[in-house]
Amino acid sequence: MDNGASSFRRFLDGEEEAFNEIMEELFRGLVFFINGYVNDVHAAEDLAIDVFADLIVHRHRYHFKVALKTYLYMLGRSRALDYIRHRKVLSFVELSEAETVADQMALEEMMLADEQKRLVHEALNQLPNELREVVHLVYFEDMTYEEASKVLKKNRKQVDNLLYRAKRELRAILRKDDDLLK
Amino acid sequence: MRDIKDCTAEVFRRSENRIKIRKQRRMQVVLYVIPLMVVVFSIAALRLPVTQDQSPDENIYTSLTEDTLFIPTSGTTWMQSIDQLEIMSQGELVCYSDPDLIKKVSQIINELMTDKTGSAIISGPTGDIGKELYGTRGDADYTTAEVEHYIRFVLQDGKSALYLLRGNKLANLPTDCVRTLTSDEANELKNLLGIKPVD
Repeated sequence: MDNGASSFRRFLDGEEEAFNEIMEELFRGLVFFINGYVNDVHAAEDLAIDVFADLIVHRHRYHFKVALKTYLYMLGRSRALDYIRHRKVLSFVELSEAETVADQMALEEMMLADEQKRLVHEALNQLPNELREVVHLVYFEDMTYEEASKVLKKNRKQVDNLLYRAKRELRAILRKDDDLLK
Repeated sequence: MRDIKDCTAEVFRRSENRIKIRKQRRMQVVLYVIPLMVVVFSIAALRLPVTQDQSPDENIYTSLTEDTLFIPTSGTTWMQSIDQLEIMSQGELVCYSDPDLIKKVSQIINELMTDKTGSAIISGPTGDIGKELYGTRGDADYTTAEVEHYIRFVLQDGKSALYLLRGNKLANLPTDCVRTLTSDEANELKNLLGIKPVD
């Protein structure tokens, strides 16, 4: 599995169908990742579409030096931070809040089919942003430390430290929840 | 939430729009830049011959080749075949064809560049014209600020004898020979050539 790189090569060679494979493989994950920043599933979806459109428009900017997934998540993160800064850039279809919440839950269900993952994700939401980001990339997106460090624009050692702190805090949160359940 | 196929269609729609916009912008740039370039080049082409006539490049003398250069010998016969005298200082060229002036200048220069035995000096003391004229970097006499005056005698056969006067140093460029003049010698030569002394 090369996280879409081979499909992208085929797409560059003119096989348009290969792009659908990339979308199938990476789109929902990217929406979920961006949603972690913007906390609005529709905005996240719109931003993810923008990221993929960017990939097509500037197709030769991707040099296959990092995994396509890492590259897309790097673009996605910067788009999300940009969006948070401006909060106005894109036009969305107005939806009722209930619909938005339902979509958010649907996305989480899709991404967190595993119960254990879901529990961890809930605990994750209580963590500070940068700890949540790094855990999400490494444990939910199966990225290596190097890939995560590229997406987050940090060095390997910083990612290491963040993960250590995140695990310690997660453990404390999960233990507390466990005690409450008992 | 939208279906993945809708999202893919939206991705293609947006990318096509962006590519279209980029192409339009490129076309706009081309539409503005090409006429501008044409205008600039036309003006440059029209102006160039005029500026070339007005201020000749100081380096025109560097394009002289062995075939067109004349190396003065110990005799004075070459002086009789001088057609014109040219002085170029700071990009300004002055031509003289007055036979008396040409004779005086050529005689003085010939005397200055001839040793006691009457034969032409053919090489400088260090053999390095740069060191002779400018000194060595770090030395007290090292300078690049002096005005340079090129003195060119154009002979009847089209060849040129070429000298460089820089401060109180006179160099025969084809032979790399440099002579340090006394202030009297330098002033006499400069007066003849109409060169104003620098304050």
